[in-house]
This record gives sequence, C-alpha cells and structure tokens, in this order.
Amino acid sequence: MTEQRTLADNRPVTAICRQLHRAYRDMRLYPAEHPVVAESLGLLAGLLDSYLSESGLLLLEVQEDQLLQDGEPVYSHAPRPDNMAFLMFRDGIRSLTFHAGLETREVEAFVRCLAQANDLTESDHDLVTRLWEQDFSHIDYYVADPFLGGEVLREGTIDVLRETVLRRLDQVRSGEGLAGGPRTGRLQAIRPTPVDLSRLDSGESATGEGPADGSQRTVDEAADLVRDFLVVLLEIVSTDSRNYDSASYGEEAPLTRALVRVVETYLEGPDWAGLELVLEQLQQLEAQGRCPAGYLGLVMSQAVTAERVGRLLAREGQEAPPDTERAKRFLRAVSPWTTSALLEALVVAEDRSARKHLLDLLESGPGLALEQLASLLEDSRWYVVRNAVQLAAGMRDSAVVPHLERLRRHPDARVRREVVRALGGFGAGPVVLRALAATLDDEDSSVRTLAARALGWLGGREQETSLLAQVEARDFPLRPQEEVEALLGAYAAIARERALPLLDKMWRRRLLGARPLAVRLAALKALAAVPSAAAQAVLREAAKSGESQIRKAAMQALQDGQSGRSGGGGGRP
Amino acid sequence: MNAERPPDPLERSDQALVLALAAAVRTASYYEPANAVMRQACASLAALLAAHYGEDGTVTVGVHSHSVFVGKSRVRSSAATYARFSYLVDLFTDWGITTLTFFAGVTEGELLQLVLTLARERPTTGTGPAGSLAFDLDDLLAKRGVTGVRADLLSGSGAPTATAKVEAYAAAMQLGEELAAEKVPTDRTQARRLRRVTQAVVDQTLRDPSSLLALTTIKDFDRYLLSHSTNVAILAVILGQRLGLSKARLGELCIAAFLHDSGKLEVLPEVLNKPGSLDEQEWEEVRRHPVLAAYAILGTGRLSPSVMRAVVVAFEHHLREDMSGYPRLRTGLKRRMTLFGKIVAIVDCYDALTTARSYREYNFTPHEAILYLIANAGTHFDRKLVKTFVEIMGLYPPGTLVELTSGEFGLVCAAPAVGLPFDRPRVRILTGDRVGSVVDLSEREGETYCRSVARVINPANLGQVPAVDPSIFEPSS
Ligand SMILES: [Fe+2]
Ligand SMILES: [Fe+2]
Repeated sequence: MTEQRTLADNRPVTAICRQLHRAYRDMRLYPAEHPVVAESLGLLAGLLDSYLSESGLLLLEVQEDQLLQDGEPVYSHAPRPDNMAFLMFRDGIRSLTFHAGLETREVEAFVRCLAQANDLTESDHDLVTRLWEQDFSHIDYYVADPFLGGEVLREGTIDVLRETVLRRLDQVRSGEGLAGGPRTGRLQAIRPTPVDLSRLDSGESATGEGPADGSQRTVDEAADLVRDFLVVLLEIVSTDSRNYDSASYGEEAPLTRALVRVVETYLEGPDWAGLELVLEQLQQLEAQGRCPAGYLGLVMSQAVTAERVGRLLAREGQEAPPDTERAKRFLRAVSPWTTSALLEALVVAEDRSARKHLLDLLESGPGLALEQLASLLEDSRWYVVRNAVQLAAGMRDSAVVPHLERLRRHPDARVRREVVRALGGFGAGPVVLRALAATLDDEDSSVRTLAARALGWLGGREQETSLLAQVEARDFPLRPQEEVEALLGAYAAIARERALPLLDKMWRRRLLGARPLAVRLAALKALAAVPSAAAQAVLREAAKSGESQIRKAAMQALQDGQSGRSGGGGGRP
Repeated sequence: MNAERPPDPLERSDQALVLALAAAVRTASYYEPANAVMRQACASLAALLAAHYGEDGTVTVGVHSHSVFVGKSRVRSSAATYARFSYLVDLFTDWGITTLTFFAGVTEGELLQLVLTLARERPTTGTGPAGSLAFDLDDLLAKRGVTGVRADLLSGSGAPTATAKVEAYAAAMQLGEELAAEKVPTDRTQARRLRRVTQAVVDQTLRDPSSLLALTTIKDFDRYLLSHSTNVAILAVILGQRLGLSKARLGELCIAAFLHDSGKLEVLPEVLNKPGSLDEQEWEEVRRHPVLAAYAILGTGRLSPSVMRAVVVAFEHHLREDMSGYPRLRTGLKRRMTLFGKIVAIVDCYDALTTARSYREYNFTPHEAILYLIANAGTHFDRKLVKTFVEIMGLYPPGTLVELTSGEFGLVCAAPAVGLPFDRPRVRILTGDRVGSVVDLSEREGETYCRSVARVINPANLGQVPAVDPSIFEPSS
C-alpha cells in the first residue's frame, strides 16, 4: 500500500492528470461521437501538447492508486475501480511516458483503452495487450512482468541454450569438411539453377508494389475469420467424429461451444448466409451419421436465445424485405429446438408485429406444452407472467384454469387483470365462475371491474348474490364510475326482473344524504339491460325528470334497450 | 490485410523525404559520385529538405524504436516502402545515429559527401561491441567540409544488452516447456503469459529481426517441439512483419504459430521419435495431429479472434496450396488457405527440414530447405509468400556452412540486408587468417564482389548449424 499524500497542486501535471481523468470518465459515460467526449479529449490533448513542447517528455510513475511525477503525487482518485492508476497498476504497468509529438489520435486511443479496461477483464484482452496493439509512437509504458523479468526466467533456461550452441558448434569443428583446413586459390561461385529461381519470378513478391491480390488482401477481414473458423469446425466434425465419444458432442464440449459461438456471432451480425450454411451442413452431417443425431438442435437451442431472437425481430422492418424473409425462414427452421427461447422472446416482446411473428412461429412449431408455460407463469417478472397468461389464454386448454385461479392472487394488478380476462375466455364453468366471483373482492378497482363485466355475460344465479353484496356494500357509491357501472350492469344482466326494485330506488335522489350522480346514472344505464315493460316504465319516468342529466341518461337507456344494445357493463367486450 | 489509414499530405511529404534520403544513400553505394543518377538523387533530397525547414531553419530525421521520425512525427512505412525504410533504419543503427539534423542552406555538394560517407564507410555490425566506432561521424563529416548536417550518436548505454536479445526467445522456450505438460494454456493466467511472451517476441522481432532469426538455428534436439514451436513463431512473425501486418495481427500470428503443433504432444512419443520410416497406421497417427491441435486449442477457454485464428492455423498447417496434404478435406467448403495458415505452412516446413533428425539419412542444409520451398512454390506453398521468405532468409540462410570463393570456410550468420541480392549474406569466417571475423558478401572491389559462395557444405550430415555467437548468452556488464 502506498501512503496517500496530498496532490502537488502547483504542478501543471496535476492539471493534466485531472483532465485525463475527466476524459476517461466522459469516454465511459457518453457515446464515442458525443461532443462532450470530443471537448474533453481536445482539452487534454492541448494541455499535453503545451507541456510536451516545453518539457519534451512526461514521465509518470504508476502506483497502486496514484500517479507520481518526480516522487510527488499528481493524481489520485477514490473509489478504486474508477482510479486510472489502479487500472494500470493491476495490469503490471509501473510507469507511463508521453513524448513530444504526441498525436491527438494517440491520446484518444489511450483514453479509450483505459475506459474499456474494466470490460476487458471480462474478455480475453487485458489492458496491456490493448495498449500494445495500439502500437503507439509517442506513448511508452513499462510493464513489470514477473515472467519476462530476468529473475523469474529460470537460470537454467539460458544456460541450456548456451550449452546447446557450444555442443553443436563443436560438432562443426570436428566435421570432416572443415578438417582439411583452408584451401588456396579462388574457387568458382555457384549460382542457383535458373529453374529454381524462375519459379519465384512468375510470382510477384508479396510485399511488392503491384496490384493488390484480392484473395490475399481479404483474409484478415473479421467476417472471413469467422467463416474460416466455421469451415474448420465443420471439417473437424466430419473428419474425426469417429475418434471422439459422445461426450465430445455434449453441451460443454469445446466443439459444441465453438459452433454455438459462431452461430451467436452470425446472429449478432446478422449473417444469414452464414446461418444457412451452419443449418445446411449440420443437417447433412447428421443425415450422414457423422455427428450424433440431434446435434444441430443442441447447437441451435444454445445459441438462439430469447434475447437474440428479440434483437433480430427488433431489426425487422429496418431491413430490406429479402432479409426479413431470410430471418423468418431461419427462425422457422430452428423453431423445433428453440420453443422456450421463442416463448420467452414472446413474453418479453413489446412490439405487436414481433409478437405476432413469434406466435406464428410457436403455433406452427411442435406445439406448446403447458409445462413450458408453467415455469413462465411462476416468473418473478410481472410482465413475463402477464404475457404467459395471455399465451395460456390462447391454448384453450382447461388444464390452464387452476394456474389462472392461483394467479388471481398475484401481487401485481396488471397480472390479475390479464388473469381475469383470460378466465373469461374459458366459458361459464363452475371453477371459472367461482374464481370471477371471488375476484369481486380484489383490492384493485380495475380488476373488480373486469371481473364484474365477465360475470355479466357468463354468470348465473349463483353469482347474483356476490354481485348484490358488492352493490349493497357501504362504500359502493364511492367507487369509480367504471366499476359502479360494471357491477350494476352485471347485476342487471343476471338478475333481470329481480334487479328492478334496487335499480329503481337507486336512480332516484335520496331524501337523506346524497347519492352520487354517477351511481344514479349508472342505475339508469343498467336498466337498459333489463328487457321488461316495468323497466321501460321506470326509464320513461326518469326521462321526465327535472334534472337534465338524468333525463338525458334515461332517454339514452331507452334507446339502447330498444336497439338491443346492451347498456351498462354486462356486454361482451 | 490490415487497413492502413491513408497518409495526410504532410505525412506524405515526410515520407517522401525519408524515401529520398534512403534512395540517395543506396545510390551512393552503387554509383560513382560523378554519375548523373547520383547527382539527381542529391538534388531531389535537397529540394525536399528545402520544403521542410521549420522556423528554426532545421529538419531532423531520426530513428527511435525501429521507427523513423521527421521532426517529432513518426513516419509510417507501408508494405511498399518497407524495404527502403528498413534500409534507413539499419543504416542509422549500424552507425549508431539517433538523429541527423539538416540546417537550411546545406548544399547539394555537402549532401553528396554525406551520403557517400554513410554508404561507403558504413561500420559492419557483428565485428565488435557496439559503441566502439573507430571514428566520430561528426568529425568525419567536418573533415569533408560537411557543415550543414549534424549527426547525433547513440551513447553506449542505450544499446540493448546481449541478454535482453535472448530474453524473449528464452522466455518463449520456458513457457513452451511449462505448457507442454498441459498441451495448451488452460487458465487465464497462462493465456496472459502466452500473450506477454508472444508480444515480447513480436517486439524483439520489430526491433531486431536478424538476432532472433539467428536464435532459431539453435535447435535443441532433446526438446524438439519446444524449439520448433518457438522457431515457427519467430519465423512467422518475421515473414508477417515483412508483409506489413499490423502489430495486433502479428501478435495473433505469433500465438497461432506458437501453438500450431499442440496436438503433436498427444501423438504417441514413440511414433514421433521413431527412427526409420513409419508404417501406415503410424502415419495415420501423425496425420491426425493438425485436428488434435485444433481441438486442443478449442479447449482453451474463451473463443477470442486470436484463439479462432490459432485453431484455423493448426488445422491448415499441413495443407497445400492445392488443398491436398492432410488432414483430408471432406466438406467441400474449404477452398483456400488463410494467410496465417500459408505463412505457418512455409515456416513450419522450413524449420522441420532444417532440424536434423535421427531417422533421416540426410539432413537438409538451410540452403537446401530454401531450394525445397522454391521447388514447391505454387503447388505446396503460396508462391508470393515463398518469394518474400526467400528475400528475408536469402538463398543461404543463417546456419548454412559454406565454402567461399576465397577458399575460406564460413558460417552464414545473417541474411542479406533488405534490398541486397539474396545470395550475398554475412558470413562468419571459420578457417584461415580471418577466423572469427564477419564478412559481408555484398562487399565489392570496383565492379567485382570480394567473396562469393563457392559451395554449400554439410559436414557430418549436420544440416543446419547454430548461427549465434555463444557470447550472446553472457550477461552483459
Ligand atoms: Fe505439424
Ligand atoms: Fe510443425
């Protein structure tokens, strides 16, 4: 641990380091093209430039959490993960030198390496490798690497090399060709035979200035790298499959992991030709018995995750139609092995057309099993559960109902609403009706409203009492208008004639205490659902009321009743 | 290959200046001072200098870490200009020059004297310890009336120590040994060490390719695979560097080359070291090693681009240009080799051929190995890459024993400098009065070469001989 000392504020380098830290921070906070980043880097480059043009070089010592110049601290920062000195120290960097002539793009590249240092530890690259690859002309750093340092290079290693050389040179000295000693007089110089060299002359030197040879110039493209890698993997599968036991083709086997990685890379692209190649080749190899049956499925089920499917679908629409077609074809081809990914993609999908696409895929696939949904119905994310409920509703399988009945008590009202909607779709079975009736006691008004509406068109006499209990509840007049309407409408739809006395009482003004207008209007609306002369008479009376709103509502209800349209909340949605 | 950024106009004029200086010195080594070509070269140099003088009336051309600088900015070389840049770097290194400062007003006549001095009195490396130049270049220039140019020389302490030169090589050997137990790096620490060591090899190659090239001739037969892996890594990087690959690509190439034979460790050692020829079943074993290597590298963890390249190289390194060779291809998808695969195929073959094996009745000399590559260029190997490799190694690569036209025996210790004819290496004399000294076969007296190769010899069927001076292993004071 180094002892923390106060920064040497009088040094210009302290200001440079401060700006370096700012640029590093901005680079992490903002996208690369953001003006804040450019400004920060510009300031830093300016400071460095004016310092270097005077001093020629800037040498910083890197300690565990600070940078030093001439033994004086010029940078420190807490907390540690954001400390640039720590990032460098952790990777073995012990000093850092900037030379005059430093270019702005070197400054930018340097700061970018630092900014990405923490992401790098997750990957194969370490900070030193990244800096090394930049091939800076004006930035040097010293890496204390115990492996390359002389003391850890085993003493024997160099001695063995020396011994080998001496031993082999001895063999030369005793060689018979040299034993004869020096000859005298000039000998003829040999020339390589013309045939030998002419073989090369027909080919230009690879470093020549001649026209670029396409095949060679492109080998290093990243896309080619993945394709070359894939082709080698496929060759390995087809060459050597007999030499490996089935464990070589397991989920964790290197070959499988590599193929999965390739498919993942292609999906990120996306590279449809690449994906089609993998599909076609593995199918063929399976058919020829060169790899275990089901291998393609194993690879695809690992690579095609819900997240990637989601990203693919999100890209649809931005892409040319032929690509959209290829995406569809690919997803269809892999759907037998990717049901759960598609399912999860569906439940988290926001976009309507993506949902539709996924639904199509799932429905054309091997078919959903309730077990696959069951786990999603247990998911901790409310929206996943909601979408799963929606999917379950589509299954029309009564085995789903017990799950829905249980989810009626889900803590999130958005889920409970979906549950009520789904329950409604399963028809007037006793379990459904009991569940809906029980939901009338839900703490959330919108849930109760939906339950009431569903009961309005599914319910029978058994639910009449539950509805009546709600309507007669003390807080009933104070509930939201929607709910009031739904409850009265449902009650009217089920109870019909029996509802008349209550509704008739309810539209009238109360003598003692106030009955909210909303309740009175809702009662009139509900009366429209009661197909009887008595109900008509009540409405006609109300239509003569001195209150204009009551009058209007009654006339509307009369009209609704005549045209057969349901009033209130009792109608099917 | 690597996409190089197009140079901006300022950079291009810096590049023109560097190229003109290199061209003038090169011309001076071939032409007489009065020659029109010579005058033209100096005139172009003068004109470019005139366009470069800064406010203080000077232009500096310097070499630092194997890079050329004009003023403070580094001038990048491309594959096309590499040879001339490299010539200039070698020239500065041989003279120990860090910077040449040109003052405004320097005449064409002074420039002519400068380039003649630099070209014709160039100290030969390898003849003595660095820093012991017989004369001070500045004094020499002053005596010849060159006042418009100042040479800053390297102080003795700046030169790399001998041990530093072998450190990267020794570290690679040691790492190879440690990895051998496990075939390939299996954890993050080892992967990191592999990167560090290969980076050191690349750095050392960029700094001083010829000293590493010489180390590849050591050939420790007891630890064949280790020295083979290290040698192939070094040779691949040297070839890749000449092709103009970026440092990042060279790092990947070095790792791939180092691991190319990983699978051989799985092939039964008794088969690998069996004297005499192999039967069909044993051959089958050997032919599996590229796939075993690829498979072993696949198991090393995260699949980074560098691991992917290593897998491809391991699989490809015994394939031929026409896709024959082994492993036999089956999918019909593989139609060409990758650049890295082609590079490793060539240098792997070269190193294998130059390694004496107990079961061979005749061991190839490096010269014969080169001829083998040439004879198979276009069929087994990429023709252009073979040509480039021959340009690097020369026709008589380091480690070749030769008899010279002077009657002396010698050992080739360094390939011809860039741009020189490839049958003119540097040779350490083994017999006669000049024993121990190093001669450059490109040296001429008038129109004729002082010495040429009369024949290649192979005493005691040794094949390749170590081209390193054992003193390189002594710790420097
Ligand atoms: Fe091999
Ligand atoms: Fe090999």
